[in-house]
Amino acid sequence: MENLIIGIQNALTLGPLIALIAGVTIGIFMGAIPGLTAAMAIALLAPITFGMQPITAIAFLIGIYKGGTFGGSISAILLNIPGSPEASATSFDGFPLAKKGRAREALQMALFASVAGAIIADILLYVVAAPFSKFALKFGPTELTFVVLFAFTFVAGLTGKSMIRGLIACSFGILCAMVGLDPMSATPRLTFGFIELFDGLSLLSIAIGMLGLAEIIFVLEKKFREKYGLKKVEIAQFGEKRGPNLNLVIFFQYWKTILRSSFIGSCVGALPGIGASMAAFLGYGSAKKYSKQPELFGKGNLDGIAGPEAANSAVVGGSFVPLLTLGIPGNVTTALMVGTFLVHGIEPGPHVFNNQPILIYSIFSILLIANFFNLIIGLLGSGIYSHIIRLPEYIIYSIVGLTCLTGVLAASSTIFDLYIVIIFGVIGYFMKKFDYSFVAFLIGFVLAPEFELSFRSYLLLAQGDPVGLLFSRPIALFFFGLTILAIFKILWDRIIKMN
Amino acid sequence: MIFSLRNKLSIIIICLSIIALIILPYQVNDGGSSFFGGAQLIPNLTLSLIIILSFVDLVINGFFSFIKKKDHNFLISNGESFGFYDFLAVLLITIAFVTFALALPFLGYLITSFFLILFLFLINGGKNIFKLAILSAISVIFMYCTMRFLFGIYLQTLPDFSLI
Repeated sequence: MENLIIGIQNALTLGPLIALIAGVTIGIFMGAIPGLTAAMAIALLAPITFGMQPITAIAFLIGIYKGGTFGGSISAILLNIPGSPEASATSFDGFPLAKKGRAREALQMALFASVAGAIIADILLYVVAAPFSKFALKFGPTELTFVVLFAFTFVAGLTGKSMIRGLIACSFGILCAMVGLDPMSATPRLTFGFIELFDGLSLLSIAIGMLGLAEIIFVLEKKFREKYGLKKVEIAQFGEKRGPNLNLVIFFQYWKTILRSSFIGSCVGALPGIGASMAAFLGYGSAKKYSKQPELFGKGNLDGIAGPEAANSAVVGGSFVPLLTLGIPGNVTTALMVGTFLVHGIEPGPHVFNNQPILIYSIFSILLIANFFNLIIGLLGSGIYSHIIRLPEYIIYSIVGLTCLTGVLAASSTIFDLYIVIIFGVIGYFMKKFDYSFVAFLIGFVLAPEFELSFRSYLLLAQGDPVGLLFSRPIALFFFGLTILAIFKILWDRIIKMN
Repeated sequence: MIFSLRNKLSIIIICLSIIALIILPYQVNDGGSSFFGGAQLIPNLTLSLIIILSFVDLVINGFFSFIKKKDHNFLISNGESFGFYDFLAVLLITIAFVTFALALPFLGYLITSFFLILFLFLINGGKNIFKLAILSAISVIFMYCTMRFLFGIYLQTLPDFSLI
């Protein structure tokens, strides 16, 4: 209890509060611009957090994550172009409402549902995380090996359209993480004589390259295609009339949808690899299923905004469950956060609950407080943001390009890392183009050191009988079974879809 | 369509992975340890997995392409071609960024960033070069000042011709 109070006090100090305001503002802005996501914002801005206090840095990143999740709905509603993938489902009913002159109502429903969903998920995180971390302390190398293996399979199977390509991407991510010194013998591996590679490839350079640079190449490619008439891009209409405010009595009529979607989002967030987009579609689907007027969906129904928005925002809280209890990031954003956590000397996992309980409670408090800033900044800023997202694309993406390079320079101060950004930018472009999941790659890269250590320790412990050891450890066996089950389930679903 | 772009990519991945498998022992100095769980274990496993999975992908993709005479939707999601303009986009951005990295130590952050952002403005569809130049200068100065005075990160400001 004492730790909780100190955690809340830490979260309510000036530094984290300012960081939260800045983070939410930037997050909403980045989320609202089509193509730019919260993950990209975190990748670009992570270097500037290195000089901050740990709790301030975390508050900044959480603010971006929360703001970015809501921000995507602004362009989805006003332009019919989802600012981020998870806002796709919001555009189904948001844009028709905006066209009817009820843009303000749609935006406010998205914001309120988003904040309500996030609060419910954060409370669930608070309830679930601590007991689960005690259970996770029983995990040894054998258990960790199979938990991470399960995460790899799940992420690879669900984040792309081809499980095989997802697994290839994940394997490539693991291979890239092998560059540097071997963690057990400290011998150099795959360094090709470059001293700069002895510390391994930097997560930040890879993420900035794959998220930022690859996106800039895509935008340029789109420009060329438009210019030379190869593929016309549909231009959405802009809802000129902003319309009336959302009546709070009407908002509370949708409490069932919001509660249901929040649970869906929390569960989806807790599972690695599924992501906020899937949660949003599940939220939308369940809202339609339980609606008294399902025929109105797609024509401008507030239920169709509340469902996906509550679900995709609840994913944020849910995704912190595996991150904080097992050290396993479930999506790109939390994978990038792990990098920043490590820079500040925080190693996510079950031990952090024992070693740094105050920090954990501070994070919980920040997650909750961020929702209120999201609400205030969202309410005040929606009008401004709706104008900003109409800025010419070439200005936004050119500045993003410079930010990518400046961010890497600021973080590493070496030209070598700029080349890493460029190489991985091109690799990321081809991976996206040919459906090799970037998420699977990044999760593979982030979890590979943990996986290697536990897998090699498991082999040493097994003393030549890895199967015997696996069958003597029920938790490991359970996750091994889950991995097999996941592979068959995903393949079965694909075969049914194919037929 | 058996030798579609995607299948060719799988073949390239297989070839690169085989080369990587061959050079791996020269890149991992584990003192000749014969222990199975040594430093080469995970790189070997992942490379083998990439080869096997790419081969499976190639076979399945080729099989469906052969039956349906087109790329299969189940396995191929984007289905976009990689044409001249796509190549041009990759090339232009790569050249711009590599030039930035090469010129930075000599010309400093302000000058290289100014030219980079101006170039990006122009290739992305900006038209009035005078206005764009002013916008570029403002953006670069803003970025520099943010880094220098807000975050205390020093970036090489001016040209250093002693390096030439």
